[in-house]
Amino acid sequence: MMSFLKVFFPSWNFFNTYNDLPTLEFKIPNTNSWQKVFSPPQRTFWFWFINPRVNYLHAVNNHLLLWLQELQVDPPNHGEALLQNSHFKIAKKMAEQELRIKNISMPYELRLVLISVLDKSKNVILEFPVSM
Amino acid sequence: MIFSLESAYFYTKLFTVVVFTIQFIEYFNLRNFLTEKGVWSFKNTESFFPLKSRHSLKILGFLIKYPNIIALLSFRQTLILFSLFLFKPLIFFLIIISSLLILSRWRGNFNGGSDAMSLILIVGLFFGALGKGTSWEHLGLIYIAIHVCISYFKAGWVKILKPEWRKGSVLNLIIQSSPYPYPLGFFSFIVKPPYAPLICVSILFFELSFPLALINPSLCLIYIFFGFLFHAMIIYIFGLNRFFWSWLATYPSLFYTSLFVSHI
Repeated sequence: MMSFLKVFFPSWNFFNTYNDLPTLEFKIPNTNSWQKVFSPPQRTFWFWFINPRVNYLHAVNNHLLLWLQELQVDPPNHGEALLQNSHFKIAKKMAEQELRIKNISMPYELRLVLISVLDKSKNVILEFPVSM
Repeated sequence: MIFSLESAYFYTKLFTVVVFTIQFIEYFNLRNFLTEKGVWSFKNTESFFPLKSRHSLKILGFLIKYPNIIALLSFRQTLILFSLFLFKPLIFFLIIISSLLILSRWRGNFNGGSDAMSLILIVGLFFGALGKGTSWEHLGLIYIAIHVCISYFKAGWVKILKPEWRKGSVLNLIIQSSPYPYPLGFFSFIVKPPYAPLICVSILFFELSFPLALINPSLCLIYIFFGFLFHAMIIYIFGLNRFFWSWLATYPSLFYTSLFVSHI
């Protein structure tokens, strides 16, 4: 409850520094190219007022950052632990929903990567298959 | 005073209605994510709630599970619209409670800063409604004004401690975290020297000196103007529309407080 009340005393730390970018990528089996699950949206006039898509993408990014923090402290020690992890379930669902919109059907492979903003190098954090 | 207490409360309420209406439309648009088959199903997120008792979790689940969450959002939106005409503490109290429940559903993943400022607006209006007709009437506006000054100052203070902000090298790196395509197109020049260091120093100066807006109404208007530009740029780069409207809603309180301070 106390952590919940933090919202009344915000830290107001905005853009204080840069972060490497947590990104979900997918790959169709027997292909070599990994692609981003979420494609960048385009700016429109309405984004000044109503912008659910971009707010959702920010929420996805926040979720992946929280998951990364958890993985650094408590990495899963076996496959079942990962499957039962709430962060994992949400991230998997995010990818499934997005790829369904793009008409990409299962099975595919998913991975969580951290992309460096300095040199664009990728650090693969987790890789997992998604099937029916 | 050229900007009366009634006007300040009226404009604060009006912009607050805009802020919450935007949130309502956006959440409604994303309602599929909240169903039990969606991304943020209650089943997937319930382990995040720090509630010890199974009974409390059940009650919370009842309130924020789909489709009840939509009823809760609609309830809050109705109260927000009523608040334009009924300046009663109970209305704002119920908005605070429903907002906390709605926020818990997203675990703070959804625009934390703008949600926090939205709550501060409602808490300020709650204080204003409580003090209505008494000498404490302006307390709500002062509460909002102090929070907005703290928000800029703290954001600036954290930044100035970072060498990458002082050198101006951070802008190009931060902008890459935007969901929009990178580079910025027409505005690409802002991440290159000499503009990037100049923009970084300007942001630091603007944020750290923002509390000065409280001491003089003319100075306050200048800060409001630059605040408008600052948030418009953030909306363009990052698409954070809610930040723009949440901070804009605090400006009537800020201006009123600067007038109040200058009359002391």
